[in-house]
Amino acid sequence: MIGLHRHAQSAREDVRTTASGAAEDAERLPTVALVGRPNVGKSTFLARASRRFVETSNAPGTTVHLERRRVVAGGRAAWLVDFPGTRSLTDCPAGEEPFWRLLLDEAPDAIVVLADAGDLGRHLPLVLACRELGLPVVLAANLTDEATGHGIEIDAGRLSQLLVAPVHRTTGRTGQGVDEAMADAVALAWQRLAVRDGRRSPRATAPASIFPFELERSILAEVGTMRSSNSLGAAVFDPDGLLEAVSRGSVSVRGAATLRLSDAVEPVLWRVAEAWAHQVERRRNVSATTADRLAVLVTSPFPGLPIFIAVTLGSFAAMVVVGGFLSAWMATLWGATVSPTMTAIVAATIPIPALATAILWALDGGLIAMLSIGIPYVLTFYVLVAVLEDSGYLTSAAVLMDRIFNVLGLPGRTAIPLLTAAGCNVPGIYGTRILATHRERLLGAFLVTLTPCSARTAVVIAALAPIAGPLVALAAFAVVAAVTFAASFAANAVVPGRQPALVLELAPLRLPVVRHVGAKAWSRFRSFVMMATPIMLVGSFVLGLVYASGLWVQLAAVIGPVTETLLGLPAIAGVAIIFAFLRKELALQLLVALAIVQYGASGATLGGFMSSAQLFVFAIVVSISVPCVATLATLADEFGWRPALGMAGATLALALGVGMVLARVLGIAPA
Amino acid sequence: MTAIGAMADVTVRTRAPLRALRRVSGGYGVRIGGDDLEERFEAVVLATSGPAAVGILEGIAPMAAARIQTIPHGSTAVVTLAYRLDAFTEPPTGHGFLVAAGEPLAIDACTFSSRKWAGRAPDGTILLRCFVGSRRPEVLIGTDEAVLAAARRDLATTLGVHGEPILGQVSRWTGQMPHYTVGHLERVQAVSEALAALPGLIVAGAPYRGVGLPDCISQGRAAAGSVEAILGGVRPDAIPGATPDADPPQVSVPLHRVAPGNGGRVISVGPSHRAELAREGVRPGADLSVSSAAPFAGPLVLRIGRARLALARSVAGTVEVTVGVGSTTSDDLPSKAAR
Repeated sequence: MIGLHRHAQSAREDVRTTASGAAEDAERLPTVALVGRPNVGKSTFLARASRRFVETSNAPGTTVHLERRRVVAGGRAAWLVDFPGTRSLTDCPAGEEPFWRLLLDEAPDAIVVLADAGDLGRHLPLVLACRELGLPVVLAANLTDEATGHGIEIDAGRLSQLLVAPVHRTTGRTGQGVDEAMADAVALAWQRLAVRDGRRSPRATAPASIFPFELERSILAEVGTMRSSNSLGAAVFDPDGLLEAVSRGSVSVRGAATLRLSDAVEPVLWRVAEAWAHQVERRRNVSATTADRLAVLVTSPFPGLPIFIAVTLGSFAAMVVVGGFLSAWMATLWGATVSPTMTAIVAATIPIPALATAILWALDGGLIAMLSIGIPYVLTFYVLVAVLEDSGYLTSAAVLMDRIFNVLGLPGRTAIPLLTAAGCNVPGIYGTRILATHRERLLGAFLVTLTPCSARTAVVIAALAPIAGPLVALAAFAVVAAVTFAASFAANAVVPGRQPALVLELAPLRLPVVRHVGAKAWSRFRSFVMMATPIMLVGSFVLGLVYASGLWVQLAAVIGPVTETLLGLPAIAGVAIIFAFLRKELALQLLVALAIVQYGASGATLGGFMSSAQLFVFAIVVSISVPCVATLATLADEFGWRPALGMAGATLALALGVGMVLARVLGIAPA
Repeated sequence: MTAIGAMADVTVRTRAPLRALRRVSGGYGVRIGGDDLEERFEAVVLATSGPAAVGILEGIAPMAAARIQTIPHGSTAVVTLAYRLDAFTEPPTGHGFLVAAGEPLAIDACTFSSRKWAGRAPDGTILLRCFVGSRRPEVLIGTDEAVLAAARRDLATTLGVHGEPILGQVSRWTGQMPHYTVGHLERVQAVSEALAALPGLIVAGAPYRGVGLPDCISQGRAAAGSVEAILGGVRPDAIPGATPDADPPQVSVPLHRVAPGNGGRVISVGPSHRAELAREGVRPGADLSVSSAAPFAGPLVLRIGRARLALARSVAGTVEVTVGVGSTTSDDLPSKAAR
C-alpha cells in the first residue's frame, strides 16, 4: 500500500525520460517490468511513461524485442522494461522461452501489470500470478476510457485492498494515471533494491494466501524442497533454472514454488480473479458501442468480404496515386537540381572515367532511387499499414482470410508480414516472428520472399506498362501471384509437420491515434532507409563498375547462349537479371545502359531492342528469381544459411522454370 | 461434546470427514466417513473453515464457493506454554504484545493468558499463548518441536524467560485462519445471497461473523434458528425452483454448432486445446457468445469478457456449451456482450 496516495501532482511533474547514456549509474538503478496480456495497451503506456512514442502495434505479439528505457517518476529514476504481451507466466509469447524466464532474466524489482479495466475477470489472473512471485506489484487498470464506454466502472480502492498492492485507473491514450502508477512502481522498486542491498529489512507482511488448503500445503512442501536443495549447493539438479533464479534473488522461494505448481495454481487464480472482478466492478447497461457493432460486421462473410476487398483496393489505389505523385515530383526535382551539379563535380574531381561513372551510378542513381522509390512508395505504404494495424482492422482481416492461408499451411495472421513484405521483404521476414511454430515461420518467410516488394513491383510496372500496356503488367502480376501460390502450396506439402489450429485474441477496433501511426510508420521507414541506403549505394557502385569496366561483355558472352536458348532473352538481359541480386529496382536501368552500348541509339528505350513478350518474361524472372542481397542476409540471420540458400535456390529454379515455359508459350525461344 | 452426545435423539460422529454433499429432492444427500451410504437431511450446517467450505460447496453451490474464496485465509499455529514464575528474571506485566513488522522474530503475537483471564493457571505459574505463521509462514513447515523451539527462542529474547516450560503444545491452523479485511461484512453478505437459493444449507463459523468464542456461540444460535425455520416452517420441496428438475431446460452443444449471435456457458473443454483455451479464459463456467463466423468454414469469432477471440472450427468443436432454450436470441446479444 506504500505510496498508494502519492501526490499525483508532483508525480506528474517529475516523470520524464532522460537519455539512456548515463551508463555509470545503470548498475544502481532498479528495474521495473511492464507486463500485461496482448492488446492491453502496453506500448502506449510505455510511450506515456517514458515520454517517447515508438513503434506500437494494435496486433497481438508485435513487441518482439525487449525495450528498456530510463524513466524518472516520483523524483526517482528506474529502468522500465517492456515485455511482450502474455496470457500467463507459463505462456511462450516470444518463441520457446516461457514468459517467466524472460521476466526473471531481467531481474525486475517491481512489476507494473496492465489489466483491461473492462475485463478484469480475464486480466486479473496474470496480476495475481505476478503478485505470487513475491515481487512488488502495481496494477494499472488500463483502457478505462473503453471500459466506461461499455458501462463498466471499477472500485480501485477495493481492488487495492484485495490485492494488497497499489491500483491505478489509467488511460494510456491520454496519459491519465500513468505517472501516478509509475511513481508507485519506482518507489517500490527502490525499496526492494534497498532490501537486496541489505540497507533495509524486508517487508514482513505478505498478502493472505488465496489458495485452498490442499494447494497451500503443496506450495509449502515445494518451498521446503527448494530450500533444502538450495542449501545443498550448486550441483543440485535444477532443470527449469528456478533455484538459480531464487539464489540470484529475482524471485521468492514461494514464487518459484507457485511457478513449478502452475498447473494447479492457474485454475485458482482464475477463480479468485472472477470473484474479485465481481466485487469491484459496477456495470451499467449501455447499448453496444459502434466499435463492437463494426467488429461483428468486419468478420462476418457479409459485409466483411466486400469491406476487405474495398480496403485492399483502396490501399493500392492510395499507394499508386500518392506514391506516383510524390515519385514523379521527386524525380523531376532531382533531375533539375542535384543531378547536373553532382555530375559536374564528380567529372571534375575523379580523373579515372570508369571510376567516375561507377561513383555517379552510386550517388546519382542510388540516391534518386532511394528518393523516388523509398520515400514515395515505401513511406506511403508504411503509413497505410500503420493505419490498418492501429485501427485493429488487420487482425480482423486475418481471421476473414484464415482459410485461404490454411491452404498454404499458414494462419490468417500471415497477412500482416505479407502486407509489410509488399513494401520491403526484410521487415516482412522479421514479421514472421508472430507465427507460432518454426514450420509456420519457414513457410511464411518463403511466401514473403516470393512476394514482390515495392522495388520488384516498380520493375514490372516500368518494364511493361509503357510499352505493352497496363493490362499486360496486370497479367504479369497475376502470373507472379499464381506462381507464388503454387510454390507455397508445394512447400506446405514438402515441409514435414502440420499446422496448429487457430486460437487468436483479436485486436479491438479503435480509432487510430495520429501520433502512433506517425511514430510507427516513421520508425519502420527509418530502419528501411538505414538498411537499404548502404546496399543501394554499394550495389549501384558495383553495378556501375561492372558497366564502366566492360566486365559485362565477358559475362554476357558466357551466359548469352544460356539466356537466349532458355529464356529467349538477349545476353544483356541475363546480365541484368544476375546483377538484380544487388539492386532489384536497378535491373531496368542497367539493362538500358548496357543496351545503349550494345545496340546504340535503338537501345535507348526498352521497346527498341526487346519485344513485349521478351519484356514480359524478363519482368517475371526478375520478380521471382533470387531475392535481393538484403533479403538473403535477413533470411540467413533468422533461419541460418542453409534454409536461406535453400529458399534462394528454390526461387531461382522456379524463376527459370516459369521463364522457360513462358518463353516457349510466347514463341520467343526455340521449343 | 460429551454433554451433547448424552442428549436424546442426538448422534455425534467424530473422525468422520464429509465425502460428498448434493441436492436431492426435499433436502441434501450427505456421505460421511467411509460409508458408501448416502444419508438424507433436510438441513445442513457447515461449520468449517473457509477453504473447507469452498471444497464442499464447489459442486453444489459454485457461486457461494467462489464468494467464500474471497475471504482470505492464512496459516497460523498457536503455541501454548506454561512456566513457573521464577523462570522470569522479571515477571511480565500487561496482557501480552504484538510484534511489529520488520522485527526479526518468528512469533506474531503473545497473550499472557493467565494474566488476562482468571483461573487459567495455578498460583506461581503463568500461561502464555504465542501465534506463529502469518509474518513468517515458512516457520510452519517445521515439526512441532521446531515451532515450539522458535517460540521459546523469541520469548527468551522478548520476555527474558529461560529454562524448560512446564508444558508446551502446538495447535495448527493450516490455511484455516480467516483474515478479516476491509469490506468483510459485504463479502459475508454476498455469501448469504449466493446461498439463498439453497434453503437449509447454512454456513457458520470463524470465516464469517467473528472468530472469538462468544461470536461462535452467537453464530451457532443463529444457525440453529435457521434450521428451526426450515424444519418447522416451509419445507424445502415446497419452494419453487428448489429441486434440480425445476431449473430452466438447457441443452449442451459443441461451440462450432452455435450460430452467430448466440451464446452460452462453457461446461467442458476437450483435452487437446484445454491449456491454451484456459489461458484465454475459455474455462468451464465462463460465459461467451459467438459473434461471427468467417467465410469458407473459417474461424469463429467469440466474445468472451470484453475480448474478441478467433477459434478454428476444429478447436471450437472441443468446447461444449449450454444454451438456455429460447433464452438467447441475436436481439439481446449486443447488450449482453457489453453487459
